[in-house]
Amino acid sequence: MWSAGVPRGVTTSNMQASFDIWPYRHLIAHKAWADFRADSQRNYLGVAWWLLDPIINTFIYYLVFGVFMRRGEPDFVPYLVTGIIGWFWFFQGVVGGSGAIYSSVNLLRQVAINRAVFPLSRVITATYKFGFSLIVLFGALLIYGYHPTVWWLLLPVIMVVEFMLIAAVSLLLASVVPFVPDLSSFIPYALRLGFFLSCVMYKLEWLSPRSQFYLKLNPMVHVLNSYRNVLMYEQAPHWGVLAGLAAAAVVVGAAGMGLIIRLSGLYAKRIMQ
Amino acid sequence: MIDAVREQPGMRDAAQDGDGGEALLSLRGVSLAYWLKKGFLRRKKLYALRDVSFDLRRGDSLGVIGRNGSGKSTLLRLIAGVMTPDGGEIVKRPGLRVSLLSLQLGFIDYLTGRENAILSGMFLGMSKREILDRIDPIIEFAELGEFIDQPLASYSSGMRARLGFAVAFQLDPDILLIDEVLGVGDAEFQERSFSVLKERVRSADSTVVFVSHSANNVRGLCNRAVWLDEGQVRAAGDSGDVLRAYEDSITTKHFEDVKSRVEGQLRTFVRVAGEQTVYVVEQGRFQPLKSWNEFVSVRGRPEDIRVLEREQFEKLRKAVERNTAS
Repeated sequence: MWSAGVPRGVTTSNMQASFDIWPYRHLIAHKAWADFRADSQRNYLGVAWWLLDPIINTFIYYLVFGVFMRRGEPDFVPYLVTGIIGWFWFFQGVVGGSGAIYSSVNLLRQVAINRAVFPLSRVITATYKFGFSLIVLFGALLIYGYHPTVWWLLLPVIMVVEFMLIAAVSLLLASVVPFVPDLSSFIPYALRLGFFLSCVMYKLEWLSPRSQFYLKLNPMVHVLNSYRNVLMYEQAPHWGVLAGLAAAAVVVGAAGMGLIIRLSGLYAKRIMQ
Repeated sequence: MIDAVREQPGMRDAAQDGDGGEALLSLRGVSLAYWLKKGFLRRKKLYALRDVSFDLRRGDSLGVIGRNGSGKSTLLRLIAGVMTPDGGEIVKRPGLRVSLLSLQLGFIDYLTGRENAILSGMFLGMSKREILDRIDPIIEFAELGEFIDQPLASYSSGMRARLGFAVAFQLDPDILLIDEVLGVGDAEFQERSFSVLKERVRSADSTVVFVSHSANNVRGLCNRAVWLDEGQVRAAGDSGDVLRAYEDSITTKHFEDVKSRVEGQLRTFVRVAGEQTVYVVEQGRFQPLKSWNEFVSVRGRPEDIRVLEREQFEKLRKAVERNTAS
């Protein structure tokens, strides 16, 4: 029989599964920084790549759309740069974050820390890279004659909304990818489609009203256009839309966290097979 | 004494603990199954643990022994809390810190030894401050010196292993779980790491679960033992008794294997434990091999030699001779 008294039903697991990830803030930040540093040590140019990448991409899309398709309006380059940098943050965050639980088998099998640490740290790594690429963004804006205005102060607000979207999508995907690994092969295609449907290299008003209606269902169209509104056109972002997106991100993110908590005890087991 | 020896599945339910002591953690009828993939969308349920029960008390050093695939590592992961059981429950005191001794946890090749020590330590549950406070003993124990600020990619596997051990060993949880990680670095460091581990395991105020397939590693280290066989507790209790039962079963099984091989008319090489002479058993005859050359000339390989106790050897010889005579 049970000789010594462990009070019955105290806890059945020491898995740190709860919505409270605050105790993990230092670990998340450090892991994000470590991955950022590791990613930048992989090649000779290091962090310079986070600057070169948006420049090269801008050059390519300017060549195709601006030159060959003759859409080179005077504001096209800063328009393009804003879109590319805003989009690649989303892209990097979701690609890294969605696969983070699945790719952390080795850690998952050894420590009972909150599994949300992995996607969140990957999202923050993407945010560090985005931070670097802001140098290119401000550089391009200044070169093309867009000087800082009070509207620029709204930039952080839009960034917070985009961060919430990235984190929410990443958490939700990361919670299920270990059980449906095929999903991680599908995600890059979905993101490529998203890239072409997010007004990165064309303007909404170039399209038919019908197409515009459908494109406006894509949250990233609003995020990217909000950046351009405050940085280039001295206009307010669509507050209502941004607030709606933030609310949706909270719902989706909570669903993702909920799933991660529910499935915490199964990841190590599932991935081992 | 052995508290619970289960000869048949489901006969007895729990390892019963004789003397008192404060239980920190209890396993009650714990089961865990994996789903093995069997073709497209077809899965097969495989029990890694079935109805495992025992208590872990403060100050215990509990050895978990069993052959490969008997569920030892799964059991350790359940206690560590990285997986939840499919059946039964694991009850622990609130706030109890349970940790696996995880070597090189989260190490990243591109970062320096120092950065990796911080990262690994944080994953193990230490704060950055705590690790930085202990960085000097870590460097010293791992014998890294200046290398601590070089990228891990430039480390030899021995240096990596030493750093991994030095960091993991800083952790001081209420229950430490060790999964036979003692293949650490070179022979000299292996000895050193094993001796500090032993010290920790033996100390009265630390509670340890130590998993091994070898009775020799557990002996003298653990006061209690659990023997797992195909996911079930075969025996639990005082470590001396459990280890003896485990070893008996292994030698018996080994003998049965050799015997059935001989009976199947397969050429078999046997040797008595502690002696040099190798015998070839073939067509009902025991033939001592006079030299190594002779062994090689009959295409023998060292790993083909089965070692038996003197008693078993004689038993086998008698059985063989009886068969030949009849």
